[in-house]
Amino acid sequence: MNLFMVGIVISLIAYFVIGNVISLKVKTLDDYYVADRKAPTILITGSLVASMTSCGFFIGDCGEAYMGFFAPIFIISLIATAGYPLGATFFGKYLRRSGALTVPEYYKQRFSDPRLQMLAGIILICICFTYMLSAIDGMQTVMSYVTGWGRNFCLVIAWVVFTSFVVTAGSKGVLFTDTIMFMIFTSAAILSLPAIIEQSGGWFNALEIMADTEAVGVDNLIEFCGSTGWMYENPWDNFTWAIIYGVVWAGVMSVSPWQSSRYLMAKNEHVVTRSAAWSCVAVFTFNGVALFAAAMIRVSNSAIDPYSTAYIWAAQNLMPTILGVIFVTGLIAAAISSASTFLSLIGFSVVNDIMKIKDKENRGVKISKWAILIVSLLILFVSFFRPPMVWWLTQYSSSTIAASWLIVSFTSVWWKRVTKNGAFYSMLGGFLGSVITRTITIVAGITLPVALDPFMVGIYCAIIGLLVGTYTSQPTEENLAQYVKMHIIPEEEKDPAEIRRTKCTLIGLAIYMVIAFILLAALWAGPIGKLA
Amino acid sequence: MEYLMAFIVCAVNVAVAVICFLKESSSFKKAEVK
Repeated sequence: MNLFMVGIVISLIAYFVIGNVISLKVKTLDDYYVADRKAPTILITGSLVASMTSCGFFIGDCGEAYMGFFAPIFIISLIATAGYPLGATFFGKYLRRSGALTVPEYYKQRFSDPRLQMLAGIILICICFTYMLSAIDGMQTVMSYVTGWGRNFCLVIAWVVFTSFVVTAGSKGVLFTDTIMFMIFTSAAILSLPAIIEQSGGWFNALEIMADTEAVGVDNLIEFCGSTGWMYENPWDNFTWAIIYGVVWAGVMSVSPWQSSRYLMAKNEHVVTRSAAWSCVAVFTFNGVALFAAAMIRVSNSAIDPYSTAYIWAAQNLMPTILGVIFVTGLIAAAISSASTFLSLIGFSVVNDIMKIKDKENRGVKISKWAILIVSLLILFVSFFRPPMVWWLTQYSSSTIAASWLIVSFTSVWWKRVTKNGAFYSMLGGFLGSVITRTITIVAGITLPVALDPFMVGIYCAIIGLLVGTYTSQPTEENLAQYVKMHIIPEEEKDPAEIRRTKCTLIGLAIYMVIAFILLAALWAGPIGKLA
Repeated sequence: MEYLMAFIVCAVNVAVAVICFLKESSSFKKAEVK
């Protein structure tokens, strides 16, 4: 057994033990679904980032960066982080204020329409199921590559770990394990960059080699718009595509169930805003650093095959052994944290949004545990038949959830006139528009113009559905009352000290981004401009 | 052009942070007035 195996086994045992110890404190339905709504900023931040980041990032996005598509992925990842504060301030706070147990339940409360809860629940289950398959596939790839164990053996071991603590500890277990995993993979990714820089002969030497097409074997490895021919031939098409998908991912970070549902567990609304700001900083830094590191791996070896394993190769060959072990452990942690969040969301939604249970307060936890176990077994079964294209599966899911929920989520808070029909047709239109267009592009093997990207088609359909549904019906008295109630700030949120801390955090976020620009200009844009 | 990329990714985040700050300030100010 090598050190990488030892690291993975120890970490899996630790997650198993921690999750199951936490389960002893889970008593009520609120404990199980929303961690008793008492989670502090650190736990919400940890869970937000850990749920968002899975193996797909390290083997998908970082693999693409290694192959020369750094610039578009960089733009997408760093624009997307703006979705955190935006989503928390204009949606997440109001979601928490509703007191719902799940996001689909919030839609039902807002529009007094059980149809909407059912539809949102079905979309959530479909998307999270797909997303979970991609997270599991990534985890299998990493574990089997590093340990040499069979893919299915790796799958079963990890499945036992995350299923055990999700079933027994619910959201509390997910929050704690997510936060631990977030700390491991974030620190490992950030520490990996200096090691890779050192192996590349220093930062500026590496930049010089990366700008040399012959030396690294691809054009525009870290220059504007990335390697031409990887997706679009025209660099400006790459750029436009990246901007659009940056907005898509910002939408995902604002309203997707695996992100916004974390806000339901926050101690108060200030925690919602502050944890979103911290998540923005964490993901911006972590994604930026990891993408630079992935592209830089090409300086040491430009022939890693398959390219999705570039970062794992670096962990084994470029990093000091102990850092490599922590890094690989972090990769597994990233996958497990995402899988556990998706599993809990699917299970909660099946019970709370799809099934009609009598005496939910007393029987809810027990039924939820069984539902999660059954769903998890189903996912295990499907995962044995390895679904293809991890990265594209993630893109499929993200654009679909953003197209379906984005318009309804924000208008539910900020447009008084919107009706339940408008909300329903918007969600349905966004879902169908995105899924049908995406399926056509995959089946026909075509790349549509940027303006007809599946996400854009979904958004067009969502807006049309919203307008048609809203202007052909009237909001009910109940809808209007719910809207007014939602905008009343609870007394406990008016603590001046808390308000000041929240404002300072947001100002701190803005200052951090200015510093980030100065660093990017001095260390990357400037030197690359001189080399061109 | 790399400057443009760096500027866009940072400016979007700065803009959002400022918008959220202004929104927080105005909503609590309104609540105090009421």
